[in-house]
Amino acid sequence: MESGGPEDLHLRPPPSTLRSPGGLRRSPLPLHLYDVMTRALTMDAMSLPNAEAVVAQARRGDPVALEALYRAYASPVYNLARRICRTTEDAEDVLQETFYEVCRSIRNYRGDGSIWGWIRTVASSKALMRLRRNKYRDTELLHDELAPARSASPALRMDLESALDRLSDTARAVVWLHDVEGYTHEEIATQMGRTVSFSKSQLARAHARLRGWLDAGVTA
Amino acid sequence: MSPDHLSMELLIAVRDGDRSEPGYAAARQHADGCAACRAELDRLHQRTAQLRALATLEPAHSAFPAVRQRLEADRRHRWQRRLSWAGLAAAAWAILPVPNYVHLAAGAVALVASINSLTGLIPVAGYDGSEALGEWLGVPGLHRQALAYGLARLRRRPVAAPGGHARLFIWYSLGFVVYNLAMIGIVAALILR
Repeated sequence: MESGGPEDLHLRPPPSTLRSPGGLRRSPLPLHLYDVMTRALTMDAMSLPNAEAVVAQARRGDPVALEALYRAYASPVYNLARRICRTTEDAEDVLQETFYEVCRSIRNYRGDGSIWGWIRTVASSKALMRLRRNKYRDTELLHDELAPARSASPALRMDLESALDRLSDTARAVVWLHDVEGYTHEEIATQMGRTVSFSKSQLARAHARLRGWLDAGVTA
Repeated sequence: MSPDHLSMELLIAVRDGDRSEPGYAAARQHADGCAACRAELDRLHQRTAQLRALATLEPAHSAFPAVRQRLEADRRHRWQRRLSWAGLAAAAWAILPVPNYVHLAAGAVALVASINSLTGLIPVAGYDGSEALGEWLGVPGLHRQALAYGLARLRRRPVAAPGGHARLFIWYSLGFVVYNLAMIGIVAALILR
């Protein structure tokens, strides 16, 4: 059962129920993408029940509709930005830049995908641009050797938030965009201006680090 | 990870069903029969689920007022640019000691730019002036809403004016019609003169 696509989404049981007799999960879709896609499909409906009408008004420049878009999607955009950027100031800037761009370019949105998908692409692009602009010195390397300076109690076992924060900016961005937001390696490579294998290797190295920090009980 | 077990790259490929990864089929087969790799794969699944379950971080304050300010500044700058070009053209027309046809071209640019700028500021023209009037009256999208209402009334369709602005919408629609008729009249007079 290795084939499948988005059209199968409603015909198959949830991935958590898909296990072979040997115990290995066998999902028709990449497992992490299953939930991500389902969430993306319902995101518009949850955040903005009348999304189509609001978008139509926003395209005509209606400020009330533009503000409605902001209210509906500010939170997920900020979350994405904050997970990718290192500081709250950067995330707030990305939030503002994203909606400035959305308001200016909403006329170019053709409506062939979900409005959240479009806004999210703008947001991730702005967040990655912010990372490039800041030019953190550790873009290519996992900087665990720098992290102890920020650590708290040595007795405190590292949680996922801290471990994520400890990754390099690039690795953290790849993990978030791929595993949480559901972007493919091809999409991430395009957004970052790098290769697919770069994205894959960043993801693998990041997971290896996370596993080491979290599962082996490394202290922060 | 030891050579006997799957690397993180292959574990992720198996998790994602990424058949483009070299060695994917063998890795899947290996994971089926290897308890250690299966456990590792389960940890990967759990970690991914935990990542997705992290709390949503909220912004401390709304960024929308700043966005709105920037959009308004953009609009002002657009008009300032047009007026600047008009001013430059008019200045060139006035002071440059050049042949007549350059004077004529500069004058035409100045005239068109000025008309463009000024007509945009007319409250019933549907551009910046309408937006400013709508903002002043607290009726966003005044132009669009008023014309939609006016057209519906003209077609004798029963329609409720949003926000109870029926009178405003009718006056605006009438103003829009008068403005356009006046513009057509001026252009016709200039051509026929």
